[in-house]
Amino acid sequence: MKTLALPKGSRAEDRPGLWPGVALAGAVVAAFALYAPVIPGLVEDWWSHAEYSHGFAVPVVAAYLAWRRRHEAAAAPMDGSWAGLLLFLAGVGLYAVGAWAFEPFVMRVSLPIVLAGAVWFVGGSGFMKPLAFPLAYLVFMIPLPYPIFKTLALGLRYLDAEIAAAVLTRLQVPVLQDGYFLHLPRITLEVADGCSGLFSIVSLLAVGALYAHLTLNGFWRRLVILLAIIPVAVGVNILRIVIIAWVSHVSGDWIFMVTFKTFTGIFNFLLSGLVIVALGQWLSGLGRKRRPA
Amino acid sequence: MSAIGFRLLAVAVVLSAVLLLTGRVSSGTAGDAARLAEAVSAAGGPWRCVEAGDSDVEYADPAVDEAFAQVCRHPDGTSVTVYVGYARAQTDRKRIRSPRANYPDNTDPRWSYTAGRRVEDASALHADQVMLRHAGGRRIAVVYWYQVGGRSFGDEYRYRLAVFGRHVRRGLTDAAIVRLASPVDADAADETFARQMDLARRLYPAVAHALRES
Repeated sequence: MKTLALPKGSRAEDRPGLWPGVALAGAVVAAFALYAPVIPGLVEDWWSHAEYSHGFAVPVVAAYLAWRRRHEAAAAPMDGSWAGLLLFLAGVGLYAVGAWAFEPFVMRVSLPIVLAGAVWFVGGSGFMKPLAFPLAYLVFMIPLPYPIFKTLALGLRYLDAEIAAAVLTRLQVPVLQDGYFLHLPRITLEVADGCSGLFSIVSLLAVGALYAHLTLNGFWRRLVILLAIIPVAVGVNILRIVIIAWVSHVSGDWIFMVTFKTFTGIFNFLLSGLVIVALGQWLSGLGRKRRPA
Repeated sequence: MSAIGFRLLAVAVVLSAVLLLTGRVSSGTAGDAARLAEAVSAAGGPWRCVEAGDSDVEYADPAVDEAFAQVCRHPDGTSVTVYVGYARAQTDRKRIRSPRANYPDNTDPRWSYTAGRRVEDASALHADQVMLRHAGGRRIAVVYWYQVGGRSFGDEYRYRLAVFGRHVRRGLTDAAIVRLASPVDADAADETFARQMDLARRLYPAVAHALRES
């Protein structure tokens, strides 16, 4: 059987990895140059907004997740993908729109899309598959635009105040709800942005997605966990507001600061996290029970 | 070169092209604060405008390069603080803020605002009216518009689209914000808005002319 072979001593045979290496370096440098104006603002948001401080951990976690799957990726054929090219072009298009409209959120969102598109286009579907979640996980490092965050927080403040007032009434605590203010006989509580529960939801979504990916099998179980985070976090936050209001009502103003400091966002985060883990355990057990012997 | 090398090269070329295309930003030259102030002072009609004192100026946009504030008074006693700010070039981290999100005291969460009411009339002025409310009872009637080249925009999204179009076509991102504010009693909101619009219509041709594209 005849085979085609490059002539001995040719450049390609001598240094087979040179040109791909140069092209890779060019792509990495271009990507760094493109996103250089985006990163400082992103890091500033992580630093200055506590609800997004997990942003520092997200790229590290994504890199770790990719590292765990490196052997699967390396074993896959690097056959490229036209669909990946489309995703890559959509990502750079999004970046261009964000840059021309100086809309940082759009530029930031384009980052994981461009990365995923480039990886998929260059490596192909087999190479992309084990890296898909680590790349998608980068979405959690991007803060919501301020107007959207404020609008969501305001909606949650009203909802929390309304439900907390209803619960307090059932507990025989005289309370007058006025928007997001709860007027108790001895104290008025304001459900402020920080008490809306949105901070916990944002952080829990990032942690919950990681938990679901690492511990649960199956798309639907993971989706249930992600969807459960929002109602669980809202419920726990309302519980926190009710506890603060009830204890302040029963024990007097002096206890308010004690309860307020005790039942901070950490309380929300930890209790919601425990509920989510319990739900995850239940979902795992459900799968095992249904499996045939 | 291998297929992988070609694909990596394509990625590098596309990223470099986008970098070149989006990195092109020129500074506008239309907004000269002295010329704008002169135009506002000469608005004419029954209004008398003087430079605002420190106590009158409670609004500022950190993104603008040039700004001035004047207090215009109507014979019926209506007082309007006119703020005009011009940004020569905007970026993702330095852009004109919406007066809906930029309150007199941004650190005070007790401010809220009503939904905007669009004002588009025969004078080609497109503005937005909004009522700022403080939980403490203070109310401020605000009429504002963005000026891009010779055009005004009350709608935030149309304004952004106009700046986007100029950025793509000419690399220009300059724009101005014009904000008219008056303290108002609850029962006099409509009258105050009407007075503000009267002043806005008088100011608009002068401001548009001063901010026209050179």
